[in-house]
Amino acid sequence: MADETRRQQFTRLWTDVQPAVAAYVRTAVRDPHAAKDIVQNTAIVLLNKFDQWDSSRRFLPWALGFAKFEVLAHSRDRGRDRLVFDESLLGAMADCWPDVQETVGRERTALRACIDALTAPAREMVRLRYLEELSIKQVAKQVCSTAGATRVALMRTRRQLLDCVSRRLRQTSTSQHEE
Amino acid sequence: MTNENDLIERYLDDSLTDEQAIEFQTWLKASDENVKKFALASARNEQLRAIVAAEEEGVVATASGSRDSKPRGMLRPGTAARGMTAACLLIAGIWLFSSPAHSAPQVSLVGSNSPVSLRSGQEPQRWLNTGDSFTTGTLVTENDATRARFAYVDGTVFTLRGETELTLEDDPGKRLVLSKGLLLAEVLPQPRQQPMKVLTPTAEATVLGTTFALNAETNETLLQVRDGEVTLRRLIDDREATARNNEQLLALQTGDQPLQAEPITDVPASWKASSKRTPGQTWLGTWNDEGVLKAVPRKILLKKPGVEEEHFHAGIRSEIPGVVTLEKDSEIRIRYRTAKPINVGLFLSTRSATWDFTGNFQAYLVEEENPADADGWRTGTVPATSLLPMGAKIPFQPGCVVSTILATTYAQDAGLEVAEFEVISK
Repeated sequence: MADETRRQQFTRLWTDVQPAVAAYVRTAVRDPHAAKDIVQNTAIVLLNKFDQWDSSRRFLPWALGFAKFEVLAHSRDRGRDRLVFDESLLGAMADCWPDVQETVGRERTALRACIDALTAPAREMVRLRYLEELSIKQVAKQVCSTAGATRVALMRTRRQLLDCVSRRLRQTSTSQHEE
Repeated sequence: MTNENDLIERYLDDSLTDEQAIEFQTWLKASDENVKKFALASARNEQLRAIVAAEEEGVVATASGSRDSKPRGMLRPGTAARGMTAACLLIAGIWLFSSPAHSAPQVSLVGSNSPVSLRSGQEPQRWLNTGDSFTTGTLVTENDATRARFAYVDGTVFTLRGETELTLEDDPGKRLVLSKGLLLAEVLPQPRQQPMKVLTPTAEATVLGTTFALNAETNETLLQVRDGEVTLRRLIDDREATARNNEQLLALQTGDQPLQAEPITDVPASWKASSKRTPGQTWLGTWNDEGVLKAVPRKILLKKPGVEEEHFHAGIRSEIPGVVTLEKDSEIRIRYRTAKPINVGLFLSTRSATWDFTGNFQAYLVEEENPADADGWRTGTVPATSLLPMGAKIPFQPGCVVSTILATTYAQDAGLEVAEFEVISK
């Protein structure tokens, strides 16, 4: 029973933090398939070591610590092909990641509305890049454009979304003040 | 130097070049604030991915649950294609009816490692700061090492390298006049009826949407296209040719050679200086009748303390096509003499095969280590791996292309002469 309770607790905690851990891994490992494997490996390691977790500590920082080592192990196994993130950078990212996730979490609802407000071409480009996981070159081919133009268009779309989210959050904050 | 936001964006789009990856890592390591800035951008990027995926699952669930329900969220490809065509026509229509005649598009200076000036009509010449916008005028960069990047509102970007003079004309389309120097551009798709045009002393390039480099001299224009297509019209006889992916075109003032696109070939790994000049090369120095290159004074802007000095250089510059490819086992060999005992510097500027900056390097030819013969000539040999990175300290990358190589006595007029100058790959 105690084991079952512990497993349920782990499942609850892992379900909460999995998106943040996945985002951290995807940031450092650009191959989506490799990133998925690393996240799964991290989950297995966390489950195996769950008994060692001090419940007075936050779970996410602890989980990120293991994710960091899984990323490093993956990089070592694959050989050194233009690694940007070494251990110190991964550690620095893991340190700030929980706070960053909180900031980004507050923007989620506004971001959904802003995506809906994108023009059709911009939404299609976002779909191809973020859902179909196509490379820039592949997206460019799909939309009959050049890689350079596609990259710039995606950059502009991300900036539009950021501006839109900021405006919505300011409006929400203003209306809350006025209430 | 790429700005930090551009580095972040390129990382998120998996578009960093090798040189940019090093720049990016250096920037990240510089401070925790930079790591946090990047982490925030990346987390937002991943949240976008998660929401897109979640919406798609919602569409699938809705479509499978009810035939009458309209899917929300992401569009399907066929719809998107029609939507894009309609959007383009609408945008073109709005542009046609609303743009006043002769309103040139706005351009901003994104960043520069050296001063850039703008002369515009009757206004006095002014020095541009990052973020400054303008529509017309003549941009001048006077420093050999200049890399100045500009962006149009539509996202088209161009970079001026070295000593360049570029005029932006008063025209609703993008009309540029490259009087001299090197222009690198990534051009977004332009309206067919109003392509971007760049005029040089010998040719006119018509650009619809592509990545290209254009080098203008008084009597020749060299065009290299990495991605897309550019049509080049030779002014002397109106002949036209189109260069496409990884092709180049050379338009000479004389017009006696065929105007024909050729594949861009790799820059060789060995080079020997001779008074014979090939397209895209500029000699820094003067050749005498005995085949000796004599150093000439050249204005150099020192970043620190921001003053101009006159330095004495003997060498060669060629942004495109490039001088020589440096490999791990390359050696630079120089036979030189000076009128008085002095150490001589070697300077190299390098780029990648795709025109990205890959670092400046120097070495010293110490007078005592290179004894003179009876005529005062000394021979120095410098392995590529012993070159010292300058400035941003980008480490030497085998396979980089040398765009400038020169010997210098810096600010001292020491009568530097170079009899032999070569790069050997063992």
